Amino acid sequence: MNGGTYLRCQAKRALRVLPQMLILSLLLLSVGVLLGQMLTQRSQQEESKKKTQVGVVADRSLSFVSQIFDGLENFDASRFALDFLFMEEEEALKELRAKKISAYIVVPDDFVISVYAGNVNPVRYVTLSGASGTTAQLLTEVGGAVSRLFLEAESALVGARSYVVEELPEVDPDAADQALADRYTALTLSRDKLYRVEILGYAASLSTETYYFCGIGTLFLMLWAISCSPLFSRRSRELCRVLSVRGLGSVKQVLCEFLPFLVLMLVGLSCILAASGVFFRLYGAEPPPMDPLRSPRAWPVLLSQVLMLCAMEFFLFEVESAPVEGILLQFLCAVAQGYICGCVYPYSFFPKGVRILGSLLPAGVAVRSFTGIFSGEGGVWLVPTLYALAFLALSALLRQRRISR
Amino acid sequence: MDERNALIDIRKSYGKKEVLKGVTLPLGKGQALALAGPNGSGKSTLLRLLAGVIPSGGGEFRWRGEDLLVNRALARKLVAYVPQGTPLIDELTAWDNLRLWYDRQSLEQSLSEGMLRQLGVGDFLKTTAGKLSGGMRKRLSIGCAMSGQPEILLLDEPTAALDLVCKQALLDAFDLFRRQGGLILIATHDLLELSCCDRVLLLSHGTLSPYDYDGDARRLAQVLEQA
Repeated sequence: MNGGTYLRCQAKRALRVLPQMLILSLLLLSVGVLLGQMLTQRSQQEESKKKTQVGVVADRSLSFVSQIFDGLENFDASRFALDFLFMEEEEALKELRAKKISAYIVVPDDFVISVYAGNVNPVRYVTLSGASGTTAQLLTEVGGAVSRLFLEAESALVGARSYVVEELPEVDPDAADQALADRYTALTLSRDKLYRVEILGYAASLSTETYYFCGIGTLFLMLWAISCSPLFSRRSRELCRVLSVRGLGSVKQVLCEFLPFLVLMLVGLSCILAASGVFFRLYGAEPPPMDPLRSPRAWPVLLSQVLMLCAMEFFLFEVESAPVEGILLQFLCAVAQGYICGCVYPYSFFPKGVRILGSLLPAGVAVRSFTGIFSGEGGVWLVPTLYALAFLALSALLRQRRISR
Repeated sequence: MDERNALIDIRKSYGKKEVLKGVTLPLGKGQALALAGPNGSGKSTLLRLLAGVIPSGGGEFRWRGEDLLVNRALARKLVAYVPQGTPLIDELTAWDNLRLWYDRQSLEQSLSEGMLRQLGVGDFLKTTAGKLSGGMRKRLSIGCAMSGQPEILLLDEPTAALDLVCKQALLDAFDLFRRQGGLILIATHDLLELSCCDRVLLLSHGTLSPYDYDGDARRLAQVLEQA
C-alpha cells in the first residue's frame, strides 16, 4: 500500500466536499460579519454611554451662547467626551443631585459686562463633592474654556463695534452688533473637525473594528471545521485497520487525511477572503486595512495559525467522529476558546489568570498573532507549528489505539 | 503436523483476561476452515491477530516456513483480511476504491478474468460506494482485499446480513479461490458458510477444538451453548 495512493483518494474525497463546504462557509461568513458589526456597534454605544453629561445654565436667547456650546461640541469631532444639556438652574441642581449629570456650568447673564466693569461675576462650574479624577479635571478645563470663549467672542465683537463707530459712521452700530455676532459665531465658532480623536482601541495601534476582525476571524476558522464534518463523520474504522495491515500505519493515515483537509481549508479561506469585501459592503461596514497582510513576514505567521487550528479541529474529529457528537464537540470547543481567548470580547478585559490561560490556548495564540500582524508588532509561527505537530501526534496515537481495539 | 504451515501456540491477553490460550492448528493449501464459537469467544480477535491488526501475545503463524507474525512484509503480500464491516470510502466510486489497492493494469486484468470478474464487481464500477447495496459493498470489499494475489484469506462473517443469492455468489468466489490453492479461514455463525468449509473448528475458552459438523444446526447450537 502506497501512501501516495491513499493521499490521492483522500484528496478526491475532499474535492467532493468542497462545494458543500463553500456554501456553508459563506453562510458562516454572513453570520460572522453580522456578529462583528453588532459587537462593534455595541462597543461604540457603550462608549457613547460613557460620555459625560454637563448641564448648561445660560441665556440661550443670545445667539452666540448656543453657538459657543454647539461649537464646543463640534470641536469634539468624535463627540466622544461631552454632552451639553441646556436647562434651568433648579433643574440642573436636581439632575446633579440625581447624578444624571456630572456637573453644570452657569454663565451669568451679565458675565461679560461684569468683566469689563472690573467686578467679575464669574462663570460657575458646579459639581458634587468627592468628584475627582479625569472627569473633574476635564470639566474644570471646560469651565475655563467657556469663560475664555465668551470673553474672546465679546472682545472680537467689541473691537468690531469700535471699528464700525469710528470708521463707518453711516452704519447703525446697534443694528450692526447682532449681524457681527452672528457672522463671527457662524464663521469661527461653528467650524468643526478642527481636530480628530483617534481611538487606539484594545491593543496598541489597533482599531476596534480590526481587533474584532481578528477575533471573529479566529472564531470563524474554528467553527468552519463544522462545514467539513462530512469528511470526518463517515470514516470507516475497518478501513483504518485494513490500511494498517497493508503497511499504512496510523501516522501515515493521519497525514494523508490531514493534508487534503488543510488544503481544502486554505482554498476555502481564499474564496472567503475574496468574497469578504462584498459582504462588508453589503452590511455597510468598512473592511479593515489589508496592507499588513501584504507583508512577506505576515504569511508564515498566517499559515502557521491556520495549520494549528486545522490540526486542532482534525484532532477533535479524531476524538469524536460521530456526526452529531463530533459537530457538538467542535462547536463547544470553538465557543469556549472564543470567549476565553478574546475572540468576542477583548482579552484585556479579563482577569489576569484568564488572560494567561487564554494566551496558552490555540485560539489565544491565533488572536494575538493576528492582532500582532495588523498592529505591526508581528506574530509567532513556531508555537502554532509546535501545537499543530502535537495535535497530529495525538491524532495518530488515538488512531492507533482505535485500530488495535 | 507440517510445521511449515500451521498456527503454533497463539496467545493473546487483554490485561488479565486471556482470550487466546495457545491456539494450535495445522494449515494447508486449498483448505477452507470455519471458526465457530459463541459471541465473545475470540474469533475476530484471532483473525485480527493473524492479519496483523493487533499484536500477538506469543506464538507463530507459519506459512511456507516463514513466521508471518514476524515477517510483516511477506504477510502483507500473502494475507488478505476482510473485516466484519465494509472498509470502503463512501464518497468514491467502486473504481476509485479498487484503485486504492490495485494498480491499473492488474485491476483491469482481474476485472476481465480474475477474482473481480468472479465477484461481479464490474457491474457497478462507476457507482459511488455509499450508494451500493449491502451485497455489492461486501463484494467490493472482498475484491479490494484480493488485490496482490494473496494466498491466505481471513474472513470475518463475510456473508452476514446478505440474501441467499449474494451469499451463494460470494461462496462460489471463495470456492474458486480455494480450488486455486488458497487457504480460507472464516469466522462464522452462518450455516451455509459452515457447510461449504472442509473443517469446522470450535473456539471456546481460548482454545481450538475440531467439530464434526454434519449439517445438524441444533446439535451445534447445543454444543455452543455448553462451550
